[in-house]
Parts: sequence; structure tokens; C-alpha cells
Amino acid sequence: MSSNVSLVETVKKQYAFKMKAYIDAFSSLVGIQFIAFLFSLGGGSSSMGTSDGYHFELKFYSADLVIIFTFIWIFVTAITITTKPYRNQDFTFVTNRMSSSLSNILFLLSASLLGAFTAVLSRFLIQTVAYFLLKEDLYIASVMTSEMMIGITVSLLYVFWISSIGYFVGTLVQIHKGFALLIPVIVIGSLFYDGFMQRYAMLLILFQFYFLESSMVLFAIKTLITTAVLFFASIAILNRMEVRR
Amino acid sequence: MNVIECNGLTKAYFRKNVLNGLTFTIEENKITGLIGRNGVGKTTLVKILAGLIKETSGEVRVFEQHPFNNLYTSANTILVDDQMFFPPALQLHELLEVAQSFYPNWDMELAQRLLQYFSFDPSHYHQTLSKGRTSTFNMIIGLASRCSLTILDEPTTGMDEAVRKDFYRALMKDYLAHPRTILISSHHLNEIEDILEDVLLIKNGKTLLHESISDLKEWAIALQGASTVVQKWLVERNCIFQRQVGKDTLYAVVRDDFTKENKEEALRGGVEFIPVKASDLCVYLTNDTKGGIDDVFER
Amino acid sequence: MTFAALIPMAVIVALPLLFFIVRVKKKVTHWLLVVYIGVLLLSVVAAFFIKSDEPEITDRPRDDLYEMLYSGEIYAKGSNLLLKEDSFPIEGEKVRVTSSYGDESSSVYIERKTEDDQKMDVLAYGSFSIAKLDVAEEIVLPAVQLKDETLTIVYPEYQKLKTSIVMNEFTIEQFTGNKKYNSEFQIDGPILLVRIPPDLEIEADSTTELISIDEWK
Repeated sequence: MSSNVSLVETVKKQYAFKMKAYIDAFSSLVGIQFIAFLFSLGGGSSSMGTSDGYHFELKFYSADLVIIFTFIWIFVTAITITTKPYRNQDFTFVTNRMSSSLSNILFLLSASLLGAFTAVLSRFLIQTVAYFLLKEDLYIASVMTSEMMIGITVSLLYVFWISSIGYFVGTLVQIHKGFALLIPVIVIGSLFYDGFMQRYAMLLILFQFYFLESSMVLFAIKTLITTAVLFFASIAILNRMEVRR
Repeated sequence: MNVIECNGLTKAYFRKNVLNGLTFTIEENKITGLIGRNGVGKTTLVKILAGLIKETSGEVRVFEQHPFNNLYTSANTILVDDQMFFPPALQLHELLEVAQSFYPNWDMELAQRLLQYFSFDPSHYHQTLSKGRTSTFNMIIGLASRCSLTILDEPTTGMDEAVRKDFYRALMKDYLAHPRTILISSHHLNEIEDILEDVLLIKNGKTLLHESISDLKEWAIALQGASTVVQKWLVERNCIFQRQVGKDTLYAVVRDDFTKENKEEALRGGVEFIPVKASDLCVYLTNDTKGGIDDVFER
Repeated sequence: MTFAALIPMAVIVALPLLFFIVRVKKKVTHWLLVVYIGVLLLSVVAAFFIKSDEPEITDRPRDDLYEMLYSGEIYAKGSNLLLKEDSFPIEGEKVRVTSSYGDESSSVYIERKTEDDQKMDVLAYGSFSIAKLDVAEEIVLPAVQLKDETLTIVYPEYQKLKTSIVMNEFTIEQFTGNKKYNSEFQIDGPILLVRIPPDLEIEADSTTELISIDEWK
């Protein structure tokens, strides 16, 4: 009567389950990218005029804002799936903590892939609308297919990396609600403190470690190792957590 | 084979022991009622058995394995209670499909027929259901999953009388067709008495009694008669419950260890022996005082 | 990006999408996703029909217009800021300069040639750029005409120039090392340099100020 189940099999089932159950995350992705798209069309122009009859205006278009919004989206999504209702619904069905975490990570990876892909592609939507609907004359920075692939891959690495940060933060909050207060205080506090001391913000230096890396390989190593470490830490913490529903 | 083995099981929340050295075993394919007053640790116990929470000390084995964080016990155990959490994005029929994908013994036909019988709209969402309907739906999941260990924690919360009866009947029929170990927790034995084989009575986080239902019916006996006479028989006996009936008549429940001679002697003294209903016995046993609520009013 | 490069990309996207459409029971979100990705892919195709210039950023150092001018040798040295050159044959002994600049006087710089070639050369210099993009070609320069011993300068109307640049995303730029654009504007000029034979008499009406650059040399 009793049936044996393997971890891999369970993770697969839970992943399939989560792709269905967490579907609202995908609607919010579309919504958030659409808002970022509108901002990208509207904002970002600067101008200069002279008294002898010249007025120059400059407008930049890019999907940068869409990518940034996607970062925020995955961060929030990752935190959300560590919260109690989401963890509890895993335990309505067959799971242990390991399979729950692994399937969460797989879900975040899929979400990251979709987010990164659509974010980078939205550049074409922005440029198409600017050209055909707003009738703008455009200078378009050339982009080769290989560069496009780099763009998607790098965006994916970033988004997945941020999802691991969100997952870790969410996990800490699950251990103790105090972290929900402590983490923002530390982040904002360190920015203010560094500003007060009139020095370069530690946090910025931390981020530059990733954002200023110009070697693709080193960048991939840096983000992937960080991602792995954060996910491992989260799994280790969640593995001891009780489910109180 | 023992499906559940507990030995000195203790669970403490904030240094307060909810379970306090609980010891019992449950054999395969038995229907056991887990009876106790509210707050004696029934829910804590079933959560430990389902692997949701971890015991503080003592030993617990489900299918001869430690249930906490155990995939094997998780796959073969289902815990049905009114706090089962389902994803709000999925419709009822999708929840059935999800459950099917997880539970190897899942009976989709049964699930769908039950859904239809209790007139659920398969396209509704779980969180829009009323309390009784939630219990009913959760019970459908619990029945159709056909897990080797099915734990029902206060399964009938909010159900109306007719659904309650249907539910127990369905449970009985499905159990007969597909025997499995079933643990039903309830604070009153009354409504589940007919389908139980065993009763596990818990008080103050400990096992008070673990008997078959038929033994439980004969476990105690009530004596009724003139107070003075009955009091005499209560000497050196542990009185479980006593109540003043009328002016000078006492009703007292004690463990039935009377010999035939004892009984004849008592009968001659005008004492009447009355069988005690299992459900009443459970209430008496789990009371903290001998007189029940009457004690509050008598000083 | 070439059109052929689109095919592998389309396949990469279309396969999971197809799987999605066929296997999964569709909900609003699924449709939303399908439509959104569809629109994105369409826009990729549409992007091939956009006529645009690739922004060419010249990092070669541009001459400083006024520095060159005040050295008095802007013509002699030759400058990459020369935008237009007109030449008019001179018939009389005298030239009057007038401009359309209303009440304010416009400045015209005068340089005398060493030899008399019976010609008057009008050169327009200027430096115009937006975000390091050279936009001088799009500037309408003052129209110059010599007729009946009068040099007429007609300045253009108010000029508005708008430039939109589609940038590569920072996730691409971080590794391709492409130059980043900034929001710099440069509006220098245009200035007019009139080169005349050594002994031509030249005068201007109230609309114009003549500045001789010969003494700066």
C-alpha cells in the first residue's frame, strides 16, 4: 500500500504545481513591465536652448527601466514565496523542506528566465512604438544577435541573483519577524551613515563588485557563486523550520 | 505492523509542555479515535505525526520512520484539517488534479463523484468556501488520496448534521473497500463512536486510555443507590465521576473490577449497576474534577 | 541584427510558448502572457522596418571654435568645423554688409587676403552636437548673397532639433564596452568669416558689426 517517492520526482511535481499555483506572479510581471514600458516612452529627455535661436532636445530610449522593474518584481516574488501561506500550501501535498525549497528555486529560475527575456525584448517594443506611433526619428545603437544573447543571459544572471537575495531575505524574516524591520534599517542606515561620514557608500561598493565587472566570465562566476551561497543558506535555514498552520 | 509508534513523546512550546511523555502504538488498518478536550495536544500530536512540526523529546515513528521532514511519510500520510492551505489561484477541479499528481493512490473518480454529490462548482475557488464547505472539500481530498495513514483533525468543523452523517458513511464505505490506517481526532466521541475500532484518550499531554471501543464500553460501570451504601462501595476505588441524583441518591462511575460476588452483594444492598456509554465515560475521564460542572456550584 | 538571426530566436521562444498553449488549461494570465510575448516578438519583426541611422560617435577631438577664431588663423590652419563655403566675384570697389537680424547686430568676421583674386569668400564655421552626435548637417546655415555690391545675410528662423537615441541595455553595455552616451549639448556658432581682397572697402549698416581678425594674428 505504502508508496516510495524520490526527491527528484517530488521536486518535479512540486515545480509543475508551483508553475500553476503561482500564476499571479506572471500577471504582475506583465503589468510591471508595461508600466516600466510607459515610463520608458515618456521620460528621460533633456534639452538646451540658446539666445541665438537654437533649441536642442535629446531623448534616450532603452529597456533599462524595464530591466530594473523586473529586478524589483523578482525580489518581491522571491520574498512572497517564502511567506507562511506559500510554504504551508506545499505541505498540503507531498513534500519535505528540501523539495519545497528546490522547487521554489526552480520556479524562481523559470520566472527569472521569462522576466529577463521579456525585459530585454521590450526594447524593440519601445523603439517600434517610438518610431511608428510617436513618429520619432531615431538613432539606434546597433545590436548584434550575439549581443542580444549576452543581454538576455546577463539579465537572467542578474534577475536570478536578485531572486536569491529576495529568497534569503524572506527566509530571514521567517525565522524572526524582526528582520523585516532590521534589514531595511541596516540598508538605509548604512547609506545615511556613509553619507554622514562623507564617504563612498559601502553598499554601492558592494554592488559595483557586480555592476562594474566587465569580464563576462568573471561576472557569471561572481553572480552564480553568490546565488548558490544564498540559496544554500536559505535551504539550510528552512530545513529546520516547523510548519505551523 | 505498527503504523504509528510514540514513546515518551514530548512537545514544548515556550517551555510549556503540550505533549508530556505520550506513549502509544497504532496498528495497521485500524480506525482510531483520538479523543481529548480542546487544547490537550491533539492537534500538536497529529502535526508531529504528519511531519509538520518536530518533537521536543521522546521518540516518534510513522511507518517505522521519523516523520519530520520525511518524504516517505509525507507521501503516505495526509492530514486533513480546517487549516489546510490551498493556492488561491487554482479552482477546485484544478486542486483535485494537483492532488492526483502528488498522491499515488489517488482516486479521481471518487473525488469527482463526491464533489458532485456535495454539489460543489468545480470552477469555484477554495478560499471562497464557507467553513463547513471547506471542511467538506478537505475531507474529499482526504478520502480520495487514499493515503496509508489518513489523519482527520476535527474533520466535521462547521458541517451541518446531514453532511456529517454522509461524511462518516462515506469514510466507512471507503475504508471497507480500501482498508487503511485512519486517525480521527475529535473532542467528542459521540458522533464517531460507531465507526471506531479503538479509542486513544489523551489528557494533559499523556495517554489516559487506549482501548478498543468494545472494551471501553465495559471498562467502567455506574453505581446508583442510596448515598451511604454507594459511598461504602467507593472506598478504595478510584471514583471517576459522581453526581447527586435526587435527595439521597448517588450516581458514581468507577472502573468495572467488581467480582460476581461483589455485584450480588451490592445488589442486595440496593445498589443498581448501570452501563456507562463510551462517550460519557470519555467526558468523565477527561474532566479535571469528579463532579463535572456540578462541582462549580457546590461548595 | 540580421533577419536570419531572428529564426533561431523565434524558435527558442515559440517552442515553450506552443507547449504552453497546447498543454496548459488557459486562464487570463496565460492569455496575457501569450499576447504580451506575441507583441514583443512582433515588435522585433517591426524593428527591421525602422529606417534609422546608427549613431556615429566621433571621438576625434573637435577644434574649439572660438579658440581657433581668436587665434586669427582659423582659415590658415584649416578646421574641421568648416560647414559651408561660398565664393562671390567682386565687381566694384566697395561692399556693404546687411543682415536680417533685426535690431540686434550680428557679428561678421573679416579677414583680408594677401592677394587680390577679385573674389569674396564667405565661410561658415560651427560646432553642433547632441550627446556627442554630430548634428551640424541638420543645422540650417545663414543664407548669404552678394548682389549690387551688397552682401545680404539672411539668418534662419528659430531652429529646433530633436534627437532620440535608442541605447543598448546596461546588461549589454557592461560587457561590450560601448561608449555611453551622455546628455551633453554643444551649440557653437555658426560664425561667418568673410575673406576679402586686401584693398576692398567694406562697411556695414546698423544690423551688423564687422570684426577684423587680422590684428589677432
